[in-house]
Amino acid sequence: MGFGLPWALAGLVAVAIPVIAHLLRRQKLPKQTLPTIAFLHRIHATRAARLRVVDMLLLITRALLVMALVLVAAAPYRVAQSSLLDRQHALAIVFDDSMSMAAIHEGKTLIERAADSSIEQLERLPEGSEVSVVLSGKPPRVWVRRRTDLEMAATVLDEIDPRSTRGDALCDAVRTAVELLLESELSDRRLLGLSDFAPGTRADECEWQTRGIRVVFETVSTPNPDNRRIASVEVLGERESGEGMRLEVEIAGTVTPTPQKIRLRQKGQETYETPVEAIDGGGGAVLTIPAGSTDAVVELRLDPDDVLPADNVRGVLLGSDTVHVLLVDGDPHPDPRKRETAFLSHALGVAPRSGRSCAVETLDAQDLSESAIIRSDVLVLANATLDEKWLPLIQRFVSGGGSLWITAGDRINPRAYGSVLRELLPGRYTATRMEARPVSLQSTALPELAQAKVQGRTPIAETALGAIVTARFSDGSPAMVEHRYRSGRVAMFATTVDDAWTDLPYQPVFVPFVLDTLSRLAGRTDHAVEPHSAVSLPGSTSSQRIQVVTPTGRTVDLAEADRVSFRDTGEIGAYRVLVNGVHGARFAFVVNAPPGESDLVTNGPPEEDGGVQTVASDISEGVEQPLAPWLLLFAIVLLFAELWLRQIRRR
Amino acid sequence: MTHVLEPELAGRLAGLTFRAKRTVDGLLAGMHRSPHRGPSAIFKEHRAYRPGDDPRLIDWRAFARSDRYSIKHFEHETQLRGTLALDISPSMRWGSGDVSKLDYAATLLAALAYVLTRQGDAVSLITFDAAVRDRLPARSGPAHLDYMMRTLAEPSRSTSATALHSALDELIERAGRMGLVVIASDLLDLGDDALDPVARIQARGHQTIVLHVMDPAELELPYEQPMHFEGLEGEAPVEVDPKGLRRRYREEIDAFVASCQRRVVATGGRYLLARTDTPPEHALLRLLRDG
Repeated sequence: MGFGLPWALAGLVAVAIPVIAHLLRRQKLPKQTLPTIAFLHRIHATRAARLRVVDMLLLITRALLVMALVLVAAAPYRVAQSSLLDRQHALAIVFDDSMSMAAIHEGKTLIERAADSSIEQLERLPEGSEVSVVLSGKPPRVWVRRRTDLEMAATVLDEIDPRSTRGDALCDAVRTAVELLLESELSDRRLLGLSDFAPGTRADECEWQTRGIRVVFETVSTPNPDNRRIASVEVLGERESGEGMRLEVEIAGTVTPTPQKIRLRQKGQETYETPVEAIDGGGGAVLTIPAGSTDAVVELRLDPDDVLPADNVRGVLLGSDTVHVLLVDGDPHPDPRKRETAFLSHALGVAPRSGRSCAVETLDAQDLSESAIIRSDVLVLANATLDEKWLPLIQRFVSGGGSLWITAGDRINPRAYGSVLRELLPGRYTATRMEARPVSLQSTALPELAQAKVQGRTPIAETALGAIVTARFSDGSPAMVEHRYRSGRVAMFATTVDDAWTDLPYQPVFVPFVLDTLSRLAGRTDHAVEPHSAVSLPGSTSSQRIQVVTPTGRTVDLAEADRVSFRDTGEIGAYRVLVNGVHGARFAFVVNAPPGESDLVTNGPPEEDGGVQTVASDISEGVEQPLAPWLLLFAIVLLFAELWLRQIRRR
Repeated sequence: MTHVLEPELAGRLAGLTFRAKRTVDGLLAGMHRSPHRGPSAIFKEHRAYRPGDDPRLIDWRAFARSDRYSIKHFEHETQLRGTLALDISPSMRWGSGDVSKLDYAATLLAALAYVLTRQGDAVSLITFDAAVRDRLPARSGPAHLDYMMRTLAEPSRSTSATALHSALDELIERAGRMGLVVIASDLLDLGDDALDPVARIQARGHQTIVLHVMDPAELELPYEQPMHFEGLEGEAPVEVDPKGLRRRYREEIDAFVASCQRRVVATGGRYLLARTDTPPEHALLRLLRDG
């Protein structure tokens, strides 16, 4: 039994009112002498006993009447065992389908057990009840929206992925469920939360805005929370080195007596395995990828599986060995030596062969093609003002992880760059000007830039928040500005990369300057995301076939509309992207287990308060039945009884 | 004394003459006829002489005519001996208005004493509760009347409940020869034998008049609110709502009054209910006219 307005119980002191009134009335009865009192005694003797009883009954009735009214005001309810059978309910089930709920106990995942429990509750609901189901995996999803077809609701509960890899968003899911319940016209509204309340739920950080709705949490957890997982993988060495690459794997969790292995999978094929050695608090293993492998991504699997197989898999990005650079020449010339990109091509051609190599492709601006952009890792627009039709593609290219370097010159149109690509750029080109006295360049990373003289420049203003100025002119204005845009990078250079406005190409520092810039722009993009997150993929022409191979080997053909953002990332491991059947080095990503979801030790449901109740198993426990109507009826009966007793007393 | 018998009342009573219904023997000759045979101005009858008769009562003339001894009976008026008995128990000191039952009863008895004294009768007074408290011998004359008035005005203070039976028994012993006995009381002695002495008083040849003095509040119980009622003669208090039992109460009181009347009348005595809310002269007139 409980009270909706427990503070109203303070009114119970009012029960003393009739008692005090009774006592005061007795004390304050006027005294009257009467010689014939013997006759009163004679008459009263027969009534006295009855009157005493009536008086006592009156007192009790009045006290009970006051008590009943106070209790009505306190909105009492009783917690019934099986009241779900009795009345129609609006029931919202918040169903935790996060990865931790995929833990297996006795052949069933916790999600399946929670589904069974939910179906049991649904079967207890009387006809006409309304059910909503909100999945609290990240992001929360309304699985069933206010349906009275309980059979259908039970059916779709069975369709929840029992091997979920989602993160947890219990707080948001409860809020969504409360909103759904508030939309219901049924007055008896309840919310059942089914979760393992593992650390990943962060239930203790939630603010339960239950808004008067009774919330009941049920813990569905595994008695065996010992879970092992691949905690981290460190990639050592270079692909081109003779020793190949080393992967140092750290295993978290209790190591079982059963021998464990780490299996290496490349392009869906298991190629290598090594035993896990016990280390303090976990285990470790080292794997070697032989030299000559061209894989951008591999996958590790911890064997054998434990209670939570999902986090026994981990994808590892190995990076690409070649940087594809596309030079777009905005000032072509029949003489190759006088082209805008001549010095750049030369610099890249003479670059030393250490580290990642560059594959350079040069196109005139008018010859630019979509496929050329997609093939590249870095797009250099040298003194080029592009047709606006390319600008959306370039934006998608950068969003998907490509890099863009724009260099100034007399052919660029600052206004065009400032309009369409404004969001993309780290700054805004202003009007080109020629200096009467040359200025020099300054860079802390390349002090030799100071030797270069610059006579013409297109100054960069309004640098974006987070942009980095890597080189400045001697007057302090930015010469090179860079920033990160979504998955890619963008750099702007305020002068030319040929000898039209500067003697920089003749300086020895030019080659390091170019290589350093491209190295930063083509740096390894961290393509590790959480399950079910969107991954930006490069745009492509409709003629190109884009496919994504998931960790389980499933191949997903992307339609034109899907190519910017790929969302089918529910599997944990390595994803490979094929363009016309060919692996693109940059087009690989991994999906790792959501943080916190590997810890299966339940923290238990949040502590009970006015709106939240925790139960061990059955939602029908704790179902509120308001008692106010019955108490009101009782009060009315007492009122009539009081009137009747008063009449009897008078008679 | 003056507040007991107001001069106005005394004046109005001056013209009234009390005549006893029955003849009483008195020490003084008066307007009342004596039941005793003997020397008198009014001859009644002759009867045969029986041994033991006073020889002085033999009518020698009748002997001469009839040669038989006859006794001559005379009927002559004698002085009335009135005994006034006033109940002074605590219950009599109560009144719902300005006049207590004791005041009212004392007024009536004072008026009666005044009337009797004016016609030359001897009047005695006793006050009683559980027993006789004050006692004035039968006398006539203004001095005695004044003394009686003072006693009526300031009777002894009583704390005892009324005990009619014992008090009237004692009255019988002191009432002496046949005469008039007037008892003024609220009769709140609810014992079954409370009024039995009235029969004995009657049997001794007295004319008994019972003035049943009652306050209207006692008769009607006019109270509207629940009250804490207290008695005056040691009764336990009681809290009742008068509205709830008024009807029963009145039935009880009516039965009580009727019972008192019936029991007094059954003995040959007279019963007169005197409500204290009626002017005392009305009650006195009823008493004298019917007497």
